[in-house]
Amino acid sequence: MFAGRPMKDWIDEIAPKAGIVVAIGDCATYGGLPAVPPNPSDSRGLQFDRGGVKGGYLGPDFVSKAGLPVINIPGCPAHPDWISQIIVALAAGRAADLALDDFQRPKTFFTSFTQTGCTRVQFYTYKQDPPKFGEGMRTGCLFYEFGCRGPMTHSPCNRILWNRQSSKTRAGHPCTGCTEPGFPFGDLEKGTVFKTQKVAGVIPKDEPEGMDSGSYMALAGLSRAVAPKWSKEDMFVV
Amino acid sequence: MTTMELNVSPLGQVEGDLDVKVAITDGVVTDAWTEAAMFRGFEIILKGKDPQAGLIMTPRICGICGGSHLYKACYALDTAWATYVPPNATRVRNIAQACETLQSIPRWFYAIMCPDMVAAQYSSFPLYEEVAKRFAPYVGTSYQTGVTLSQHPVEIYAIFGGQWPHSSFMIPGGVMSAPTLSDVTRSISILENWARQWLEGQWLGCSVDRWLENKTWSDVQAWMEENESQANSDLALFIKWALQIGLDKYGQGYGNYLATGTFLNPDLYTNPTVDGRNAALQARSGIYANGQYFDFDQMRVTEDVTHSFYQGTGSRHPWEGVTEPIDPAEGAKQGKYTWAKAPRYDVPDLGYVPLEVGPLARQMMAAKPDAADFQDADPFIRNIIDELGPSVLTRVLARVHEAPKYYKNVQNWLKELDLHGEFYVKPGEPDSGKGFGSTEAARGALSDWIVLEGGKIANYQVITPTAWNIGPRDGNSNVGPMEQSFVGTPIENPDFPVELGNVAHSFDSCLVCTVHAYDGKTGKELAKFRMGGG
Ligand code: SF4
Ligand code: SF4
Repeated sequence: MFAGRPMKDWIDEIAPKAGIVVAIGDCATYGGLPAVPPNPSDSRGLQFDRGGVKGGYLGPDFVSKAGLPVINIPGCPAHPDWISQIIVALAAGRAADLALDDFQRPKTFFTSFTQTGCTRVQFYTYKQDPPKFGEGMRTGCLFYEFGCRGPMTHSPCNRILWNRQSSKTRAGHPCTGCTEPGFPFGDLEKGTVFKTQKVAGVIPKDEPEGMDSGSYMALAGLSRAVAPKWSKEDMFVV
Repeated sequence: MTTMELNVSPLGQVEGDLDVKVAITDGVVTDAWTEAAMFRGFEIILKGKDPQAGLIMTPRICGICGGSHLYKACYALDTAWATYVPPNATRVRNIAQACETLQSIPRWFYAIMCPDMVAAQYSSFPLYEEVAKRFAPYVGTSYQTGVTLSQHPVEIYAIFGGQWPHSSFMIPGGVMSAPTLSDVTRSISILENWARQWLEGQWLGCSVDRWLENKTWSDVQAWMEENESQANSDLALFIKWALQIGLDKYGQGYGNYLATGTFLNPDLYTNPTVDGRNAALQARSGIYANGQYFDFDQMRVTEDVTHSFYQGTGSRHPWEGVTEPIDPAEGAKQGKYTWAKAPRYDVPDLGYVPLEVGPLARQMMAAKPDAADFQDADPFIRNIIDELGPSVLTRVLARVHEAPKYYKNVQNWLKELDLHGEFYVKPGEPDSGKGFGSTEAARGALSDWIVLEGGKIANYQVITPTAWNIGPRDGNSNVGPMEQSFVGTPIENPDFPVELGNVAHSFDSCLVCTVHAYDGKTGKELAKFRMGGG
């Protein structure tokens, strides 16, 4: 409801007249957290449903007057800089430069990964995880035990920092993949929160994008074997 | 006698939508109904999920007090799992919670309070020109700097929590981060820079310590005239303006309050329990009703659904709470009119009394007798309430008085952090248990009740400050605290009822609201408008 009318009515009325439609945040993009089963409020994104199926409230074929599909700026929350830069790009007449990916996210922001620029990436290289939370800031990568989705999540969180200061992974907080339609992954079911999902107890269920589990295991074995001494010690020291 | 009804929306701003309808008789509000018009069902989603799901879900209930949601969600789990929380982790949690509120104070004052306060309707008052020059939305000189600088306190949040809002870095047993020296020094620089520029430079016109010497309303009056810099401060201008346009005259409410308190003492709450919470709170909890103080006891909280779009009638303790939505059209036939449940507190001997939460409530508890050494004991706002009565002005003063207090708290916790100490101790994860966690979001008491069974969430109930304040009529037809605060408000111009905006904004409800004006007799719509800042 907004100003006495259901939000749906506003969208029905405004969307056909809009030159460009931009969805900001996960709720508008994919349905977001309210769409986690049992989705009691029937939440949908404007042009996608949670999980990444094209459709959403406006339907797969919707294009705005400018001939563009909904431009999605996902994230929970979406970073103010992503929002303002994209709006500025549109206002400055650069819509043509705004190439979109499969989920209609501007590629300029959502091609790189959360991992791109993460301060822990050297530990990722040598497959070293931190001993536990709270020491996470001092060393190690959060992929192996704490469910970090940095290698599978397209976001500029470590290129454009949050509040100009930091990011989840820099602060020892696993990326939960909030710019992807599957967020929250595992539907918050038992055992899925801040824990790496594994096959046979050892192999991460979700591998870095573009890797099969055979090559991942080979690489991981090799990396661990050659891991230098410093990669097992604290790096982000007091 | 003319009676009309006004529908007000959007009055508040953030967490959903709030419709307010008021009946006006001879230019004064005689009755009010608030209606929460949005349903997202977070409690329904959480049922059956991972125990820690609330750490991800609840901060997202609200875009402006997510850190407060995280703080209490984490303590709900700490108590349910009987964790050990190292003192350093509590300090980091407190720093984060306080910084979120420090951000909120100026942002709310300029962006939410100011727009209706500087409405053209007030242009005949002598201070109007100066007030409009400084406080006008977007263009006011103080508005711009106040809002812009308000982003700095949450930078400190991001240093410890990775980002603000929507971090989940507080986890049972501590926090995820282990700060380095430069994290602390950077935080100190940001805090002090913000305090010099805004808090002292623009807002108070004096040092924080000078302001904190004020203990009574007459102290404040003397403070305003003490020197040019104080007289010219934004705070002094606001006070003079509020007295000029009569913000001290309406918005009283019931004068009954509830605070659940916040800022756990790092050394006294290393083993969080529900029963040990009150004694470990730096900002104390409590109830003030009919002139008497009572201790807060979470077992006395219930939620009433008689007038809410949920199955059934009557009230239950949140551990036993159910959230079974029904079709609003069906509900309307049963006299139900809102998505908000009505939280109620059973005050000893008085029974269920609607209680206002928020800054007035917190500052009333600061004046409660018998504070322990480490607890905040501060009679200042209590004195102003005694002198002037509760009102829009007093509510605003109570809120902004927290800026200097919280600033000093953050300074201290930063100083006390032991960088070589522990920030997390891995807890056991028992399959079953019950927990309660609570804090004070900027706009009032915010609490979670969790029940775990079989390693999953069996029940999760959240009571937000706005639920306390706008909670509708209950089974006994008591109106909610905010509804009550509208009553008695003089409405100069029903086509542009800025007075209602001033009342609603002083609560800073988490909901977006809308205004329509109806003639009470004919039901004809008179006017519709968006409240400033909405
Ligand atoms: S912490 Fe996450 S984002 Fe950073 S290197 Fe490890 S997996 Fe990648
Ligand atoms: S780090 Fe991951 S979860 Fe956090 S904001 Fe970025 S994409 Fe979202």
